[in-house]
Amino acid sequence: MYSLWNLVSINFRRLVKLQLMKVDAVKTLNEIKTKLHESSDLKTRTMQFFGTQVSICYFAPITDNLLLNNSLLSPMLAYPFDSESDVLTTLKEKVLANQEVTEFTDLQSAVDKLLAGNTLVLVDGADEILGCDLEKITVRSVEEPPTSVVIKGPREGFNESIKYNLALIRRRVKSDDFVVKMMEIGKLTKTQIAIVYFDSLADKSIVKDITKRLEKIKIDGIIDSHYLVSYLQRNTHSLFKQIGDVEKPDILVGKMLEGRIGIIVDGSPIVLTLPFTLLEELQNSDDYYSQPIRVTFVRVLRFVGVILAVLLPGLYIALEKYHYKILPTEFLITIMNTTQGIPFSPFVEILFVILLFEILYEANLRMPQYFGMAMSIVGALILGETAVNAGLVSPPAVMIVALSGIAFYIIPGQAAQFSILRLCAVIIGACLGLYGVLLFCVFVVSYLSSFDSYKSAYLAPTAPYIPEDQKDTFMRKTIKEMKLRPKSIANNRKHSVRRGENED
Amino acid sequence: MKKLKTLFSPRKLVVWLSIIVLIFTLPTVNEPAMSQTDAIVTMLCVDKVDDKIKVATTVLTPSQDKKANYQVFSGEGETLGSAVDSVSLAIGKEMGFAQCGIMALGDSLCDEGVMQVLDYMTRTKKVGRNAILINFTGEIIEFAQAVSNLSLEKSLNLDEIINFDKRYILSQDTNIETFYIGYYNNVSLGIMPKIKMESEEDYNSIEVANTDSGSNSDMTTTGGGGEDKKFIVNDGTISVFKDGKRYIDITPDMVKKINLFINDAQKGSIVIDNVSDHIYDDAKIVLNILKKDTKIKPKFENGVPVYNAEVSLTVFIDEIIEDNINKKLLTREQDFLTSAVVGKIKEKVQQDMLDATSFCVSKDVDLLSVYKYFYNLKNKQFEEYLSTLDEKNYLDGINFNIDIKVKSEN
Amino acid sequence: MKINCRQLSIIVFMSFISLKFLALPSLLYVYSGNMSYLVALFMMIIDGLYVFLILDLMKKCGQKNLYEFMRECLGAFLSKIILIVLIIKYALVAANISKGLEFFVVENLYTEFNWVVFVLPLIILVGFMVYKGIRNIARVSEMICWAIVIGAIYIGLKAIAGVDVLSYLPMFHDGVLPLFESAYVHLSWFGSATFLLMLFGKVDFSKEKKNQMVKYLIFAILLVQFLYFVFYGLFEVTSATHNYCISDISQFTSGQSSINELSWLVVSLWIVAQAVQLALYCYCIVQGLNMLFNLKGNTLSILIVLTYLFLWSLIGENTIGLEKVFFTHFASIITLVTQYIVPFLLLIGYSVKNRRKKYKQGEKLDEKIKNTVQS
Repeated sequence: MYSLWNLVSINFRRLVKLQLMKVDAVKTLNEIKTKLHESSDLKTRTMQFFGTQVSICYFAPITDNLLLNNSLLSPMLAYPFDSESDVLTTLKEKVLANQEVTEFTDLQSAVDKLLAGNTLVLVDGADEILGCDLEKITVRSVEEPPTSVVIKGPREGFNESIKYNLALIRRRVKSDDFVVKMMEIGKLTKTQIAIVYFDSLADKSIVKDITKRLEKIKIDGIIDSHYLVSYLQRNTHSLFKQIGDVEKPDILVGKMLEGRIGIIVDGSPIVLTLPFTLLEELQNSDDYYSQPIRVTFVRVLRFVGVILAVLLPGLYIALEKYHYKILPTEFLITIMNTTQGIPFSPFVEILFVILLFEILYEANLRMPQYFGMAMSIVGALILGETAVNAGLVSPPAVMIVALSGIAFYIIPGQAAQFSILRLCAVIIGACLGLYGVLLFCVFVVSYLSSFDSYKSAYLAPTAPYIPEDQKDTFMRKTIKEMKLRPKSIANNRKHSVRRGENED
Repeated sequence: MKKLKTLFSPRKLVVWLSIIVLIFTLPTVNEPAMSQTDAIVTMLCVDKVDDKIKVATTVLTPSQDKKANYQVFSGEGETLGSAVDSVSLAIGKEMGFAQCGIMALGDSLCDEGVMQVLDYMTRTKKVGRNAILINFTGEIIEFAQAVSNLSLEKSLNLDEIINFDKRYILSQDTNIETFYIGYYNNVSLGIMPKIKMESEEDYNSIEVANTDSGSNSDMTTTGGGGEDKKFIVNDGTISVFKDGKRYIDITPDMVKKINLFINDAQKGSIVIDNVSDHIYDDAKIVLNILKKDTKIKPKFENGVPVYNAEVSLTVFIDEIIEDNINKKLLTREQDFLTSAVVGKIKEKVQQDMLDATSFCVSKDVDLLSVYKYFYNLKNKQFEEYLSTLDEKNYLDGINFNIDIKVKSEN
Repeated sequence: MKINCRQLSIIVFMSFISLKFLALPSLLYVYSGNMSYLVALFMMIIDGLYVFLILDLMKKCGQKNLYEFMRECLGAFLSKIILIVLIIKYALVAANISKGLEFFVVENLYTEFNWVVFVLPLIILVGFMVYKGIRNIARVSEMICWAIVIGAIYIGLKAIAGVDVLSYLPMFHDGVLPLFESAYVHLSWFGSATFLLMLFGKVDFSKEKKNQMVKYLIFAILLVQFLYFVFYGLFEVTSATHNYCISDISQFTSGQSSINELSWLVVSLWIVAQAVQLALYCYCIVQGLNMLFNLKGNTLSILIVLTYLFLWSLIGENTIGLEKVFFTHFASIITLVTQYIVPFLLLIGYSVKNRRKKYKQGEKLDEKIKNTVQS
């Protein structure tokens, strides 16, 4: 596959300089064949139409055979002979009337389209090459993405086709305000990228900035949307995620309605969104389809979950190792009784359990599903239990790491980052105790406060505190009460009201 | 210079300093928990025997089951510091006093003064100032062992017992902090509950095995039901300290009487005799105090300080001890708190309170906070009054006025 | 990078409360007894008034920094001297906070402790926050402020049952003189508005809400008064022996073991508050050094400040004498000058400059009128 692209790229350079004057169907066809190194999957056909030689070439794997027959070959063969008419015009306007037809005057563009799935029609003596879109789209069906499961709410998820994904969005947005800006990135892959946003809501300067950044990308290929992340984020080496990702059209439209901009990449079911704030991770699409009081409770739970996930093992080590005097006596008795006879220091013990859990997680993730289920039970129950019974680790250590590990997945989008932070907290807790853990927390908060994602503060609307945006922070008010678009995200301030002024 | 600048760029500086911190602190990473390297003391007993300070501690030790396990260690020395060090040497661990909830002080130490011990333990050894203070009578190791066994065998904690007492008997906190506050006040008064060691069985006594009292730096073990069985007796007696030294002991009966002046003491009971009227016939009635509100109003009448105490009691008839209980008692419509009962209550409470005042005056112990009320509320007049006293007890010249109101439960 | 008015209010609020709940209540008690809370009330009201005076000057100065503003009003020489005094003031406060934090951590959390090593993470944090600027300090303050307030209220409410109101009487037993003496000796613990001088040109007043700062200041005063009320009512005559107000209250109310339940969490939060305050004052020193020596980048001045902090951790092992010299007498004079004299000097300088300007404008106008009349 890659060798084919290499061949194509070498020949492109030669083709660039070639300008078409008058098409010699056979010669041009041979030229294309040569340029594409006689690639086996390139199919050609030559036939007579109105007495003129017409050549057709296409890549068999990416061309819909049925469509080719029904839309091009059969109509051509069945079309009544007419010596008066111009061959090219007849083909364009009558034979291929119900297909998307593009005219090329330069061979390079024609070959580009051929590689993208178009079928080229070369008419002898014409000054244009016709390209018609007869591409065969092979994609997954629209399914519910595994990371954005909802109890109530839309279950459609994006798939790997940019066309399908755009269709899913268009189906929800029937507005002339919705803009799709297409571009191609990747010298070899020529991946289609779409920047989508609402013209009246998105901040124009951000759209400009994103477009500029994307245009500047010089890369062989874009395989997935995450390839773009490092080009788009400001703090390249930061541990924290600075660009949002969504897998569902309802979430994307919701975000765009707040003034965000989406970037869709062909071949990836993940759509990137910008600007991104940390708070987005606390929010879930389910939140907007459930009762506000319940949502408020769940969001606070998520926040507490994150704190527990990151800090609990570090705090436990700090308390056990340095600050037994601030523990209530009963709790201290429990810890003393359970940690008695453990051969490791508290740090090694926790580190051992963390490693155990991380290995289990990684193994479980990549195992076949039927085997994975059995392994998780074996890992969690038997390994943990036997480690405790063998006196290698204490029950509180297992419980604390397990609790912390589960709490990560309250916010699955940040689980990877948080596991690194947890490890840092454990090391600092073991080295410096509670004082160190506290300073570490301030450092993290300070670090997160220090960077902005496309004019939006990362910790907004908490720091800086934006009172108007508190309706959808930890507490969520009803949709009716959320009259204004969030101020914490850089959007077009002129259209900050979500609804018409006459509505109450 | 440019290299130096890049070497000390802010981002790199953070990395450099983090590395330095890790270099210094990483060796400590593998150290065991301090809860394992320190001996966690839950109770400290101090006494003076033959001019030497003797110390006994109950130390928390891990056990296989989920319960707490305590062991008693003791030591002695010329000073408190050396005595504590000798215990530390015997255990082979640093003594951690952060969890020390009780400080028990022996009689002879209390007679000589406890402030030095308290100062050393709180300032140097960091015993929390909320640790409960106890004055104990008896042999120090026996006491420590008895308290330890109380937890181990009966699952009862002495601090819980004292805290319960606070609601029913003492009506005041008896921790180091309140002792300090009392000591540094103008009257320099402090109180501690008194726990006795008796050989006889008592109503709230706890069985404990006699132990061999060890010599220097020894560990005492439970004898396991020998012939000389001893008990901890908590009968509600209180030791009163003046200027940090034990001054007098107050009987539980007198404590109850004094409590009538103290607003915090809400619980209690009153027993009245010979009640006779249309319902009762020479009955003995036990009344439960449900609510008590004491208002102290100090004032000066013609230059004489008057201590006015208004006591409002809400009572409930608990027990009626009568030979032939009147049938009327069966009818619930009757008001059992008859005027005869109320009169008797007033008479009894008045008498109890007067007993308390005369006890305080005669013993020169201001347990009724007379000084505090007059000094704080009638400062100028009281200072004038004090200046006229010379060496005389200021309580002598104070008039006590008592006014009692009684309400029924409803 | 500018901060908004709300962030400014929060920084002022934090600066008003953070130094007040550690050693100050016990220190005040030595001089002014059971009336110490009045000293705090009096000084905080004065500080509050100075906040508004400095804010007024800030608005007048526009986009200029303090040095540019001072140079215009008072001349270059006097401005440099004031800058030096200000830097000394900030350095003393930073040292005071660092020492306070050290003792607070030792007393409450550790049995064995090497501050020389433990100060390094603090230095890293402070250095990072100062490097990132005032907006970062403001945002962190915003994040932790609510937790600190809730914690302080929780501690106070938990202990309020043990308060003996009688201990506040008699009032003014020894007259009012001890109150003023106490206020003067501990002046360096007050003067919470001085740091505002370094924020000239760094505040965006465009979205200023009416009475926002007043509300924050009143809340700060009420919170301090509430905890002082609890502290003095709880410990009465032994108040002077309780060096750490917030942790001692929580310890006293927490039952058997030293610090119990959630109290240690509140105590820990106070460490965070101190760290942020330290960063704020270090930021002020850095700004001062930059203005004084006309430095372009922050790196050198940050290095100087961090070295200074580290040196304090080395020499501060035995601070019994040092504390008296640096944090009371000498610091009081410095605070008196920086907080209470400098703003007035600036105001006078500004008014004189304005009058001259108006006078000159008037002269020019007169000349113009003359010319037009003549022509």
